[in-house]
Amino acid sequence: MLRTETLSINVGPQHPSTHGVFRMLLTLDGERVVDLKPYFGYLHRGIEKTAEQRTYLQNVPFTDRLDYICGMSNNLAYALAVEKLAGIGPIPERAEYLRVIMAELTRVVNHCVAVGFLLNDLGAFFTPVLYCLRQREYILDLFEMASGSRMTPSYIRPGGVAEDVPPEFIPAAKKVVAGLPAFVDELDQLLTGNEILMARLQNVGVLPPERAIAYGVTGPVLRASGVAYDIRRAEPYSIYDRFDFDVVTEPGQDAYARFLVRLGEMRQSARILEQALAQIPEGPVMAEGVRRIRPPAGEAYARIEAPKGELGFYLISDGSPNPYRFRVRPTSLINLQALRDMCVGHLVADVVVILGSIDLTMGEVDR
Amino acid sequence: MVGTGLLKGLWVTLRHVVETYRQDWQKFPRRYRREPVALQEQSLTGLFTVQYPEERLRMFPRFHGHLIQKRDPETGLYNCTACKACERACPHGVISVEGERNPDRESKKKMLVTRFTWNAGRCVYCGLCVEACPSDALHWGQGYELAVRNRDELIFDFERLLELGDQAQGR
Amino acid sequence: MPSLNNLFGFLQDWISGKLSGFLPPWGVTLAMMAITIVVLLLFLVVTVMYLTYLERKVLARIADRLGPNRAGPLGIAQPVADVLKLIVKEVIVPARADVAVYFLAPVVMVAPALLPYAVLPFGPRMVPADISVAVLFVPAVTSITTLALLMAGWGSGNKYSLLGGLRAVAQKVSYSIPLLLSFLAVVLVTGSLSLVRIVEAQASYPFLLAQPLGFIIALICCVAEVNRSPFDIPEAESELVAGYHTEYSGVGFAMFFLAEYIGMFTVSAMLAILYLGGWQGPLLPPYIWFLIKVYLILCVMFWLRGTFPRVRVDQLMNLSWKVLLPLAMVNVVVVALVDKLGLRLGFLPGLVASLVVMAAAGAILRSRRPARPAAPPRRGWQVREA
Repeated sequence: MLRTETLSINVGPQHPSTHGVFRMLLTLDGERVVDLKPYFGYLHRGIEKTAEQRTYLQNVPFTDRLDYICGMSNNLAYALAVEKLAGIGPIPERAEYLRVIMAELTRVVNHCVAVGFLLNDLGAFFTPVLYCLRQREYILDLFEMASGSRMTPSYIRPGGVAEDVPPEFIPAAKKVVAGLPAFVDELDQLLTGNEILMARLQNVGVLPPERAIAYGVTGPVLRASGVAYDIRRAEPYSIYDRFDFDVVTEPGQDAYARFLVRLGEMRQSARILEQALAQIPEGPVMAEGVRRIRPPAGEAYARIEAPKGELGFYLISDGSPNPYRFRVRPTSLINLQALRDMCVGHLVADVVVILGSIDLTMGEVDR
Repeated sequence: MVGTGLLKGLWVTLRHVVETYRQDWQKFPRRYRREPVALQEQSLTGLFTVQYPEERLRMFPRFHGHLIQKRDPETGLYNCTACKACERACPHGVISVEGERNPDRESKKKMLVTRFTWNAGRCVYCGLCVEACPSDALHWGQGYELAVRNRDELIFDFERLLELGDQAQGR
Repeated sequence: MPSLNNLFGFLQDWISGKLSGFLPPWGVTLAMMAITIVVLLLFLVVTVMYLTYLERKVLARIADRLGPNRAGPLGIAQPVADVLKLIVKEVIVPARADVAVYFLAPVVMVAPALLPYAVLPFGPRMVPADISVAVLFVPAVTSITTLALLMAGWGSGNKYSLLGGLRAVAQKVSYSIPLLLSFLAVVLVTGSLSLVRIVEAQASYPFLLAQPLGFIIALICCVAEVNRSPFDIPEAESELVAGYHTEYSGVGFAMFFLAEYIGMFTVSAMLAILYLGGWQGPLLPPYIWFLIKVYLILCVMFWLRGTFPRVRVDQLMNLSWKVLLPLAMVNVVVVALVDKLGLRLGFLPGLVASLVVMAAAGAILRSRRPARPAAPPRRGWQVREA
């Protein structure tokens, strides 16, 4: 028999398709991947430690920068954790509706970026990226209208939201939401039936549901393996139990199923947004008496269905204005654990596709 | 038929191309405008890019551009009372304020600002300082062309902030 | 006053008339050859430069943006800026490069790419050399560039470039065969290997109408031959292996770039001549029709690049050997049969036969798609009924 050797290739930190600074050490046998070791930490900024020196309000800008594409969702998770810890409540109705609107708009933004850049990795010369980013621009304009900043809004605070939206926000948001189904239809027409796309994405990166649950994978990756688990249904937070939407699940378990789940979630977000924008009441936007937050000693864990999965904040307080421990359950890092399982046995060209289909943001992996 | 997906995709991109040319034809010959452009109209097709610097986007009122210090329009005095609320609110220690009692006991202004610096290079533009200010002094300006050639020029002092505030209010 | 149709014929006669005033006949021939070569090279270089500009504009319009519009009015000076940049860029030779092979690769890439223009007819009297085996000559000469890919991959001294070069060679070789078979179908009907005769045979209807299957196969193979998206594995940056021309910068890279676009023009010209009718067309001068057809195919290539993702290497090989090659062989047989039947119905028999074959192929391909996994059973604890 021929004695063959395996080849070690470094998909280095500088690579056009690693979605941030991420390094993978692949061990190849010919063209097949035999082993994969991820190396991350290139974007570690020490957020969790720095947050121990800041007050609860000053930590809100830090949470924006964890998963920097979905700023509003991170703020929401943190706000829920602090409210649980400090016993702040009840949150005014208008603030709850605004939170849901912002969270679902963020979901659309994130899925636009995810789908767009997955196609960029596949080689479509930037066209689907620009269509998705175009839709994202309208939503980022809404964020700027409300909070002043597109990607790091620091808008959802413990107790409600920072300030009420200007009067032109609701009509503008209604227009954007009205255009969303047509946009997803156009993406569908361009991409879903595309034979080349199907050939590239089907049966690539298969993750059976038992392995997905064992790794703790959540979000679209889990739902694309057939497990219908959505925290908005399993443990509803905020006012999600008032809205009518479906949990998008696909039985395919591969990258194509994840792509379809993301498109379907954009449609469901449009549904929720329509209902929320129609039902939003007037009123205050911040709970009473939320001044210097100084929670009693204790701990709290709050989680939300962030666009990438389950984002949770675990806060321990020792009675002082700064948190004693500020722990983030990093969605992308836990989803990353499944990468090796998904890639082994595939060709080298598929590794980049699988990485794109998990949808990582290194800001969350490294914090 | 095998290949319909490909043809549908080609049809979508063809629609986009035709639409951009139709828009060009409608706007001919005025391709670049000089006045700031407002929020872009929601549509799926048509040219989307903005030709900077001939066309600029107008920012929303809450846009986190740069900090300004406001004055009282009647008296002309600056509003800042050197209370250091902004300095305490900032997560990164980017603002530094020093004040002293006003020697003129008759004036309305009790505290004078001796030094107020804002390091635009270190700021994360979160806005906690603006929210903390109790005297309607610190605000957001709308400019975004803040590039300088020297890092020292990024440290804005009080006079510069007041000047930017006057520009913003004078408009 | 010459008619516009005959412009180049008139120019040729006028120039040779002037020259024979003071040169012996062999001098006139030599001078005419020299002038033709210079004119052709200038035309090619300028065309290729502006092809890059056209491509960027078309791709930009697909993506709702404008493309180059700053260098000169409407961005017309952009290719000039690109060329200048490439010329003054520093040429970095890798330490482990095989120097002779490294420097010869761009030359071997560009020179054979220019040769086919000696036999491509732009109009009725506008072909530098009307040889009777042109259909054989063009693919033979463009295949020499395959060697250049291998030379570039090896000469770079980089194992990833070598892998990229090997892949590029495999791709080119695999897609040459269905391409030649679809050319063969046209040659069968015309009975001649000369490009001028083939164009003249399309006076009543272009062969596209009689052999649409052959045209589609030829189009796919042409796109793959010149390493264009969706078959641009050898030059992709987001693939792991870097590609055969990674280690080239400056003038070397410019040569590869030039050769790729010249190749694009060549294959589009071949498609236009063999299937679209070459310079046939009403009203406009013949060379204008030729250029219109070539640019039409080039725009289709840009369109394909802007819309589709890349095909993976093994899928590429599958497509060529398992789908296109059998289809091309069936196409040849069908065309021969239709021709033998001798029905005088113009292009209709061929059209009908091709459509039948395409429908059958579509049905076979669809029945062989791998099945999708069935939905796993839902478990109760994950969904709380709202």
